[in-house]
Amino acid sequence: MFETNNLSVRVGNTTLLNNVTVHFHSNQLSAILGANGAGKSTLLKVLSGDIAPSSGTVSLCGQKLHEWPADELATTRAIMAQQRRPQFAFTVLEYLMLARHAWVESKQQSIEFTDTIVQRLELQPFLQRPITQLSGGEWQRVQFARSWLQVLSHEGVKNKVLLLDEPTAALDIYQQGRFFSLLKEFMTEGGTVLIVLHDINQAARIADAMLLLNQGHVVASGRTQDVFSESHLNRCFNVSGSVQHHGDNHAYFHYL
Amino acid sequence: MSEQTSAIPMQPPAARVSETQRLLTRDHTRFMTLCAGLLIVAPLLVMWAASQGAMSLSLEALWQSITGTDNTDANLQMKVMWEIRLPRVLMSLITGAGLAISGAVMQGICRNPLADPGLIGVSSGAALFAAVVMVFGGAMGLPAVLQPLLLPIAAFTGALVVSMLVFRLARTTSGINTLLLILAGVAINALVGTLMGLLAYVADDGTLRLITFWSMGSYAGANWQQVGLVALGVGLPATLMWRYKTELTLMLSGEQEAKYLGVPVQKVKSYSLFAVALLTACCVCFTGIVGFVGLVTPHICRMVVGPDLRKLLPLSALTGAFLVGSADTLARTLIIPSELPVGIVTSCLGVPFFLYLLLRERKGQYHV
Repeated sequence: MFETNNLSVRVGNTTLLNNVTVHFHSNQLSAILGANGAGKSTLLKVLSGDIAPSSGTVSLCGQKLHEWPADELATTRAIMAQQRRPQFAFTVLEYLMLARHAWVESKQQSIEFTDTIVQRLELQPFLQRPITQLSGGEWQRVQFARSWLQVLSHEGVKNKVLLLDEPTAALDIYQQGRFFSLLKEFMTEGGTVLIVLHDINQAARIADAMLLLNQGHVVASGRTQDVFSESHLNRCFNVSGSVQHHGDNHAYFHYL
Repeated sequence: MSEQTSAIPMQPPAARVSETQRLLTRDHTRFMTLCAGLLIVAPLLVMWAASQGAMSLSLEALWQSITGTDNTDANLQMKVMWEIRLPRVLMSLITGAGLAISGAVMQGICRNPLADPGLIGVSSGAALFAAVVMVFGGAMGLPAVLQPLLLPIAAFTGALVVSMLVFRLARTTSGINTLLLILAGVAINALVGTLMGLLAYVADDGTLRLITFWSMGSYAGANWQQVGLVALGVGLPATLMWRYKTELTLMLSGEQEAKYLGVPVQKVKSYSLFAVALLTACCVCFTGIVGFVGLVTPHICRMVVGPDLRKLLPLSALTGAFLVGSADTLARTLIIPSELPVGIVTSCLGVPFFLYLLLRERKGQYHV
């Protein structure tokens, strides 16, 4: 779905990403992990089209990212970045409806799609609330709903991709759980998710695939069960620890 | 919740009145009623404003004049109505609407509810060039009769030159940077303020008085030619802003986010800023600076219809027209036979409101 080929990003004499070649498959949840300054957010910015690579290419669905028409790109990928909440008091409903901007459709169709998301994410009680007055968890939920709505078509979210940068950083453990269950729902509708995470154990729980970065280099990438190993994690984070398994499908990294 | 809700299909639900639909219809009806109400009251305001003033006008006399009855007094009243009052009232309505919508757009671009069209140096540029003509017009050997003609041209040029300078300073390789725009605006406004001080220093007392009055705005002397020009100068940029209303609304949540939603942010920003500069230049060049309208009007309207520019622009235009129309009527009727500069009246209304907003912000209740 998303591919990078020998991607490098340099700013002055600093190399932020060095020859990153990676393939994110469709309908998978891929986690991008690494220590602070490893290049996770830079990679996400390149994938979002915010910064142009110094060399190498980025393609989405086989087409170079910079060749995508803006409208088509907006209906194919949504980005939930860490951003300040707007100072203007849109109601949740107004804020959601704006997500359909790039679609060529009737107002009635926009309303119907919005309605689908509102019901799906149980946002009815919030619709008239100003976004400036939502709690952290509610705001995150509304932003997620908006991203979903941005790429929602009659075929659900098949071949659509959602990029998230540390979406749970400001959430308590209960809200994190709720948020990840929403992500899973997005996946069951055919969506693809790329997520930058700090919590490697959380990533091990939810991700189908992983990319480990260290100082702009790829340490390992592939299926979670292959990548989530002591040697990779030790190399990626420069910490000693052991991977422990719980049941068939659940591993976690225990720091020493 | 996943178990409960995953049963809902992702296809749009069958046509029925949903909560979303109901809320949208309700908001739309409320907005249309408000606008219709204002549009119905507008002719009444124009008639009331035009009937007020140093010379009292009677409907009976105006009717006699229209029907051609030979009555000198009636004809005089008609002349006052047609040549003095009506152009003046229309001028105040058009510039009020123009200043209010450029304020709404400016606050949107800066993503700051306290921004004002004056921020990009339009008003101060106009004032500076106007002051240059007032101070040196005589010295340059210009006949006094040319001054009224030259003044609006100089003010218009000044407004555009200074705002273009601010845009130039704020331009980076990736387009106009909003933070730089605000900082450049503050710096250039300060510079213009200093130059104005210098001009005030060399000006004689009479000219100084002229400069001061010009900076407070006045609609006295408005004529039909000016009304026509200003209507065009407000109408064209306003059309451009209206074209980008949705894009500008999306940009309220951040330029980055708008870009992710497919908005050509730099293009919209450049065109809109140019439209703000042109519109404000047209509004101030004949009448001087009418303060606080661009700041306060969008605020009042945002409290009623929210920040969406698709509703905010029309409502701000109507409300701005009403505010300035009423303020000018007060300005010329409060101390008959003399009159107050209209900027004093709008500031008297605007400053307390502005302070109220600041106090609310201090209490952390600022959510407009």
